[in-house]
Amino acid sequence: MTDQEIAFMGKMTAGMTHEIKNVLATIKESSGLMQDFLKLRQDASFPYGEKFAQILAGIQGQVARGVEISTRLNRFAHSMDEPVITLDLNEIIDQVVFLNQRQARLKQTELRGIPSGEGLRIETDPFRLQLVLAAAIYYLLDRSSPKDLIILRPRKTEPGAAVDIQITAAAETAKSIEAPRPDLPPELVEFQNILDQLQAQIRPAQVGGKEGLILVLNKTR
Amino acid sequence: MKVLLVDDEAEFINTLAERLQLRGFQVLTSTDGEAALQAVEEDGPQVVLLDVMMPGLGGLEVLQRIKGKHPSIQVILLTGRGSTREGIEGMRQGAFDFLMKPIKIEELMEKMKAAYEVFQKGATEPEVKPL
Repeated sequence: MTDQEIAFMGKMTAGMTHEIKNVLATIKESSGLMQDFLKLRQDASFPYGEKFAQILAGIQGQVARGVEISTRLNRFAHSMDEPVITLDLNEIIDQVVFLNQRQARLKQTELRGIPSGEGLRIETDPFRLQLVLAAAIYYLLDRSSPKDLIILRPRKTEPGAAVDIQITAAAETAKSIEAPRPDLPPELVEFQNILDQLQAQIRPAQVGGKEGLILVLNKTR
Repeated sequence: MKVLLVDDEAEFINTLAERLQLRGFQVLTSTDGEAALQAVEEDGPQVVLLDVMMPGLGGLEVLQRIKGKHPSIQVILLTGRGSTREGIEGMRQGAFDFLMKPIKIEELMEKMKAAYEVFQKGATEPEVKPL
């Protein structure tokens, strides 16, 4: 996809997330108003009052869930605004992890980002970076077992940054990935062009007998 | 306290207006920027809750016009974006504060009360006019 096509897709998606938020805001206020009236009638005889309160709380909970999803989708859409920006790698990993929780859940696997203690500012293409991070996640999801945990852990390197992405048993703590192999797994070869645009590499590495990948990013700011 | 709610989502502001009225606020509503500016002139709200993204006259433009003519009126912006960028930009242009959509009514009331206190302070101070 060209930068122009990506920006168009982002603009359309961002516009729709605004509309979804407006819908959710109206549902939230309408159900809130019903709660207000219910509170005003607390002493009056209304046989289903408690049930109504429960249902309204459920609606508010689902609205909150919808808002979180549309906020994240909006942020994703705006990541297509500019082909290159300076971003925080911790934040982008948090975003990718959130957006792919459903894929992990379908595999009965947990997905978790472990932020680096230090800020990791890099200058890169946010959309394509998310694309290769998601591709790495799907690659490992295909090799995971139920109850596995997939961890994404960014770290600073010289001269850039890297993201260790590894499968681990849920109870274990993440181990450092060492001795990566230089070859890109065949299933990820289709992403070589995008990796080149990002000036990045993906290297496979085994940790404790389980699959892992390292995304190496050469540019930082 | 007299507040003006401005958003092109009529159902949203009408419902919000009703909720605020139940809590003792005097509430006016407008569904576009032009009508909001007219309401500011005719009805004299002390606090304005203003949506940033509206067809026609946008929220930031309305903010500038309100603050240009009535600096003591406090404006709280309402933004639907996933980031705080628009809100911060609005505060740079004179907004009292901003809220992300959908709002929490308790948070809105707190901000409105704080904005009203600032309004009262501003309204008692004489305006400095150039010689």
